[in-house]
Amino acid sequence: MQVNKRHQVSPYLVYFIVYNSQVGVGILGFQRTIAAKAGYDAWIGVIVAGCFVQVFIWIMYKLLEKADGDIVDVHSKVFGNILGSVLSFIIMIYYWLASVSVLLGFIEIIQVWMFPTLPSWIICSLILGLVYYCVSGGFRIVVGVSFLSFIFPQIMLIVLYIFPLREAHFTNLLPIMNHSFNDMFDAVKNSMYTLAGTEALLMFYPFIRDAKSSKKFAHLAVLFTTLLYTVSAIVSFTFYSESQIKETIWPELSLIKIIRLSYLERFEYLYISMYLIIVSALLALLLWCSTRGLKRILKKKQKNFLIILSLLSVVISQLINEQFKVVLDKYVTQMNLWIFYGYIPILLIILTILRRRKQNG
Amino acid sequence: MTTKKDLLGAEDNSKSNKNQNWLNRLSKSNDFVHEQTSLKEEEPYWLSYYRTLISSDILHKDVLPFLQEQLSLEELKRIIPVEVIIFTNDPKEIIQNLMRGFLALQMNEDDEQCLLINIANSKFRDVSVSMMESSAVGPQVGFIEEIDTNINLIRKRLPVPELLVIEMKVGELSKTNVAVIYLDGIADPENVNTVVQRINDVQYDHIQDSAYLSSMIEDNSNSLFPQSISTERVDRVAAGLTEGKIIIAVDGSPNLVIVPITLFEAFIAMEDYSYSWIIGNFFRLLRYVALYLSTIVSPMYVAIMTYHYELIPAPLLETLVGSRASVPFPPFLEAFFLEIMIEMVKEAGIRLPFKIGQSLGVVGGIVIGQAVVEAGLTSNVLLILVGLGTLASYTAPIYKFSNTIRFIKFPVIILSQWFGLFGVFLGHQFIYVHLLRLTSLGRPYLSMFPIRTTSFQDLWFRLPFSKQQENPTTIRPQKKRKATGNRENPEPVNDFYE
Repeated sequence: MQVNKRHQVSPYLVYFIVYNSQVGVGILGFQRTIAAKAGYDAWIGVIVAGCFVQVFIWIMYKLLEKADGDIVDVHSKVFGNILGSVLSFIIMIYYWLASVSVLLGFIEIIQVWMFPTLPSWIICSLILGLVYYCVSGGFRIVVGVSFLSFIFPQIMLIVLYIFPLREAHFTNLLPIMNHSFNDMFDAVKNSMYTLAGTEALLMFYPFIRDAKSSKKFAHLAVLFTTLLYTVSAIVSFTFYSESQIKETIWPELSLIKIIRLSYLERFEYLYISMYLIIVSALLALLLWCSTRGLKRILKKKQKNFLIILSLLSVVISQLINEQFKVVLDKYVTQMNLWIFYGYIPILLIILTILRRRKQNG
Repeated sequence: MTTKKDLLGAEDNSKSNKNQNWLNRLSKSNDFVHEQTSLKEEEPYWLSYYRTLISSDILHKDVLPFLQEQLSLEELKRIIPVEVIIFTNDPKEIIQNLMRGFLALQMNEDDEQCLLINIANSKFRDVSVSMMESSAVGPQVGFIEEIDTNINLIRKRLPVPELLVIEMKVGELSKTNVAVIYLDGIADPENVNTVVQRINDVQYDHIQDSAYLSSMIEDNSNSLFPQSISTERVDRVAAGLTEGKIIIAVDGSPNLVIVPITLFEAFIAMEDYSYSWIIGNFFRLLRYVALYLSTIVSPMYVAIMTYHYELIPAPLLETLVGSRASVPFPPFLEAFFLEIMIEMVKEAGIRLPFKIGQSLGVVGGIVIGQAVVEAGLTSNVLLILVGLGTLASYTAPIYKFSNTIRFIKFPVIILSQWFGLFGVFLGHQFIYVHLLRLTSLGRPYLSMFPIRTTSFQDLWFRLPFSKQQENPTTIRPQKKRKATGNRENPEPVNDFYE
């Protein structure tokens, strides 16, 4: 399906979109989950996971180039309309669940660190109101917000590492590679979900002008985020002791607490507030993908889906309890792994075989 | 509706008593003069004019002496030394021109043929220093309320035939002269068409100012942000034209409208170009900081004092808390009332005559401010912050824009009272998304994204003239480059380089 040229964006902007799709609330707490088994070696797992994501990007580009459209087109070409729609629908549900998981994660952080008594539904409606305003402006606006989510918080994410690095014990990282393969695999698996998000490309691919030339920007963005996550992991590992990091839920936020300037301290308040920029951009992207897909599958207005999904998110945010949250995160993680690292490569193979057969026969 | 018909509709006239009709309609007014030059009923000429619209000087010196010899109207047209003379029998045109200060000359009272001579008395103030957009150095001249003079000022700066003017009349009752001015070959024809189309679509009784028109044709009239720049500086208009912008001049308004614009153009002062590029840049960046600061200072105070006082280190917090120890209000009320008070002082200062306004500033600013602190109603620190914020908002080179900036902080203050720092960033993200969505003539308003190299040359920054080679591309000018050569600094002549 061809998208109107007016709505398309320049190829280099893919860099910001992919960056935005990967950085969510994960970076605030992934250090603990990856270190659970692999300990201080877990940062290697992040790099390995980054390589997997690079391969995944390559696969997605191959797939979408062949179909010249988004995942909905791919599915309808391979499986026909009905089965294709069902499969696409599952992916759209994944996008939405991922957005809910991010939203719940952020709400939890706000409630734990800043406003313990503020009801979830209020925070949720505020953020989703912002996201609605953003998504209803079309894809260009979503990209614009991604752009800001790269520029603005970089100051916080990178510059603030200087302070904990002053007290870093780099010997913590030694000896390297003293964990079993299984432990390392666990770290890789956990990093995968933190680095997840690039699957948004499956929906926004047709919106890139001259999409082929955008490949390098997507790979660069993944490289950048991989490095960012690796640095973040190393900073935490060199700062905390191994038993400490296993008990700190948000190592990144606790790190920031130590920063003291003559006029400002307790940066985490500023940090979490500023994190709204990142989270709202990510939510806008995910909800845009989800509603765009639903619009294409069910042939209704995107606005309706956006309203329905937003309202559902608000309801879920208020009703859900701690246990359900864990279950939801688990499901989303599993879905992410199976759909995008299991199913999509198979889909590429099927499509390639189909194409070959068509050419031969 | 009926009154409108009476005032305007010449359509219902029957052909036979056309002449009688316009005479009857106009002579209802007491300042309408209809008289004969000779005493005999059959002899020429009949004069009709509005006494209040014409210049009797021109009438006596340039027109009446020629009427002694009883020439035909055609001959008169040739010899009367006035530029605009129209020969017509169309009653609509006669009425229209009489209303603009023309003299209608007839052989007989019943004649349909009529010679219209322009003897209008146009009294306007002289061209003078621009009041709202003053600058310390650089050209000072500003536009005035008369459209022809304004176009004259522009033409003097850009004496090329490519400078085109499209004239229109807008307003059912006011019949305001509107001119759309652009440089042919540079301005995007699509933009010109859009502007002309939108002005043609305006249906409103009266246009008193260019602001009426600009808000009628802008893309989103519900936005706080002006999507066009209204300026009274001639140099800004001329510079805009060369970049492919379109100017709308409205008769009776000293402010000319520039479209399409981007947000950052509102931060540009023409003075930036009068200094060395380094200093020009410094002031431009200072304005960015100041305007951002003025939207964030009071909300931050409210957020931090209400929720996050941990952010402030203990020694500084002591000062802060100490200054508001005796204040009985929550920070929100304290900040809100002080902000409102400053707005009141500003508003009263504008409404009052210049001299009183000045002394009011002293009373409002210093006396009340001091007294409020001494009475323990607000803290010293807040007074400083609010004062700073207000001062910062006045650094905007475009007055309308500084109003927007000052208004924005009120919703943000309310958000910060409810949600602390989170609210501040929520408000700012909303504004950012709004700016992203905004367009000016269909072109993106926030030129921040997609990034264009031309934005670095002369929009966000102001590089030296040798580095400003291209016109800003956001509005798609047809002429890409504004400099053909590239003169660098000559190598210094001294022993070191020999």
